[in-house]
Amino acid sequence: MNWFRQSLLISRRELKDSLTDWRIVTPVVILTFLFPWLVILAANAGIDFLERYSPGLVSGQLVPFATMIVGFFPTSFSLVIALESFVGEKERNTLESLLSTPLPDQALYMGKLLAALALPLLGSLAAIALFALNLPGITGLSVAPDLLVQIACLAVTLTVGMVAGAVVVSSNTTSVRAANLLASFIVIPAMLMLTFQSLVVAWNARPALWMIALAQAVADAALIRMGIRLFNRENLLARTIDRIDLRRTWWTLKRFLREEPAATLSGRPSAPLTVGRLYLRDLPQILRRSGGAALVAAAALLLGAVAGWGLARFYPLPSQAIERLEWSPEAIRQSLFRFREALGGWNWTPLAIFSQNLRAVLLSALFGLVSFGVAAAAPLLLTSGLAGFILGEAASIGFPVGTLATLLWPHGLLEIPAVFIAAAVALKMGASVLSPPPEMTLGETLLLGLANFLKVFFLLVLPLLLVAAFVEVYITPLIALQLLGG
Amino acid sequence: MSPHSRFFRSDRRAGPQFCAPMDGFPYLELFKLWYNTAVVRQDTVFPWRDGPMIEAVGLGKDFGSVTAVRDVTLTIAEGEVVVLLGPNGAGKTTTVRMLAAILRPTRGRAVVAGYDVAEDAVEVRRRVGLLTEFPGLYERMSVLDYLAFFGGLHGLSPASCRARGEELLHRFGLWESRRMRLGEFSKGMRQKVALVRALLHDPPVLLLDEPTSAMDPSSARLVRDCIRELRAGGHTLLVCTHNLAEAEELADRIAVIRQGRIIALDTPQGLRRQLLGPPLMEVRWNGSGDNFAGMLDNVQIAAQGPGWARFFSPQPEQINPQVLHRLVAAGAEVVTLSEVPRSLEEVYLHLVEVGEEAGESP
Repeated sequence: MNWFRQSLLISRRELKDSLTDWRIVTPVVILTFLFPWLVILAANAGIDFLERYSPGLVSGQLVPFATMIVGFFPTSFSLVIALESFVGEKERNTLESLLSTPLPDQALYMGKLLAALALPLLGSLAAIALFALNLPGITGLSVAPDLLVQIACLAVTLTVGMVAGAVVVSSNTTSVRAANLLASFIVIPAMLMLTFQSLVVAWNARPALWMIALAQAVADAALIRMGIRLFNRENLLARTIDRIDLRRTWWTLKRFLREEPAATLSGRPSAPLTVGRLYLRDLPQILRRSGGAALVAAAALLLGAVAGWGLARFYPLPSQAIERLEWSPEAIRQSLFRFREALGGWNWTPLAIFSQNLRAVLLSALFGLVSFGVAAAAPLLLTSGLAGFILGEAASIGFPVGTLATLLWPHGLLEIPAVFIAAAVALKMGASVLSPPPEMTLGETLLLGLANFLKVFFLLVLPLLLVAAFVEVYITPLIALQLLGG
Repeated sequence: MSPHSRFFRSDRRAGPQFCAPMDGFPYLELFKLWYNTAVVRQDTVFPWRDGPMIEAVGLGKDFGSVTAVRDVTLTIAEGEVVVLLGPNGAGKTTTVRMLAAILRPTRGRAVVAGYDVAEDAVEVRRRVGLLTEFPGLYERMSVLDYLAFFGGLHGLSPASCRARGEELLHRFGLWESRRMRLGEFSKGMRQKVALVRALLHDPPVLLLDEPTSAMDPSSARLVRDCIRELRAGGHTLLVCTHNLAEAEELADRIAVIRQGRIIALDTPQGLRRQLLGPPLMEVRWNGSGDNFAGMLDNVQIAAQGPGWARFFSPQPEQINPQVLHRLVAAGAEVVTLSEVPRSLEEVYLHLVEVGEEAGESP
């Protein structure tokens, strides 16, 4: 029997269980079959009222927004089923007998996931269909079929994300109470996403809706993959209490900092901690393991530069501004002075530049941690985008781009690799939770990523940024003046 | 064999019988290879094995900094019933979970039905029936639906699952309640359903954690009969229980586990002898014979009174006739000569308490 058929057995049982529970069936029926009517009637009344003041203006936005709400509401209870999928069984002592069957992990996980998804998804799609079919008859308005498909895609991908996240929570907590407490980490991002989608619908930025649906689908896939990788029968049975053990966390982080990354992963003893080992073995190992992440970071760098250059073509400097441009060293000095004033007296000192770059790198790490690594490349993307934009603008007014680019190189030779490496390792750190190494918990995986990041940060990135800051203050301006004829 | 033995299938001890190797060509080995790869994984849960049905060597399990099982070394032959005794928290359930391939051992190795619990966990689970510490039933399901669900997970066809389920439900007196929701069942009935679930796929190995807990005496008797029949059918059983009388009644051998270690493993009789000394005999007589100690210089007297004495009899077939002979020769009228019953409880408490008094650290 293949694992998918086995997972369907699990889903069928769970679904049957849910459908015999009036506490689940009642909201499903109300939100799927009655709520759309309520929204249609409310929309009708609202449109009648608003049309008196701004005819045609509001109704166009209200109907898509109402469709989104109708599609989202039936999914709201999906968390109830998903959050207790594993941990609920543990509390009811039914989990052990299930785990003792010859069911592969992925079958068990997918079975639970499908069961938690089926009702909310069917409810959501049915509610949207009901709304779309009955709306014209009552209000005389309709939802465009392509918008309907878009909204359905958004509802489906958002629901899958919520449920996948909730199943991850359920398989990694020890009680339903703990799972419910952690649900806010799912509810809040989902609400923010829904608000964002509503704004996009209000702006009528329809292509952006596809992009959002696609991004949600990618996040769904990431969450499902993470859930399967993190699913651990043993942890489900063995863990008895959730508690914050800061001492153990600190001890684990210290161990990961002391050990060679390869030794930690393979479980073999590590060579003694020396500066030589850190530079000759630890750093190469970490950088090698971050190869894929480096490719993504490089892509972000390139994409930023190209996009910045392209945007400069779309948004050229106003001709009046170009006419006023002066290229004498004195004028540049004055411009820099005004620029500094505009920044509130920001000092052009190595410390200021260093702390600025440090902030960007740490921000990159933080973004990486909370976004499966994806947003770690954001500072890189923005910086290269800005550089590309400036170079593009310079090119558009006939300024020698090569000269301008040369101004970036003296410190850029150190700064760009430092920021690039930091982004790549931060990206790897965040992405590692999607596929934790075997025998490692989510927390240990994050701590290993953090230990690797700290090693790279202190041994490589920090020294490079420090030297780059001095170069930027004391050497780059000299070269600039030389090149610009000062 | 009991009339109900048909529920537990044929005699597993024999296994497939084939000719011995001829001319040095490894016919048998080749056959075993074919049997295990082509047949076992598709049609049957019985691999061709030469060794014991359960073999654990130095098995240990840590949960973080807590050691639940320290060192379990245990071999259980096909068709044998071993009872695992131990105080609460001794590591019984963790051991059973490791043998059921639900928990991965931290140390050591265990092979169940020919498969390594760590490397071939799915194959082990296919061949093990586990009665968990808590019945843990899906309360909204009927018995039939519940069995159909687990039968499906074990790869049974709906027809064979139905037939097997029906047999077992009749066997355990649950047939009349087959359409009731499990939530409406009493504790004892739930336990029976959990046992039926464990037996549903007719596994060669059964790991039963407290099989008769919460059962009334007649239901408990039914379960014990069932265990005996399973043994007769060649099934291998590891039973965890706190019921010492039950342990004594069922066990071919008893393993006592304390602080995650098997501290004794023997037959009930062997354990008694090992821990409480040789069989203790009591003789009662009328008339002369008060100088009992003087009559037998090679017998160790445990206690003595007017007209009775208790003595250790390491070889009863030799010593007891001598005792009788001397007493009769001394003019005494022997009323009774019998073995003083020493309960398993004494053995168990001796094992567990002696260790605790010795202050063995976990």
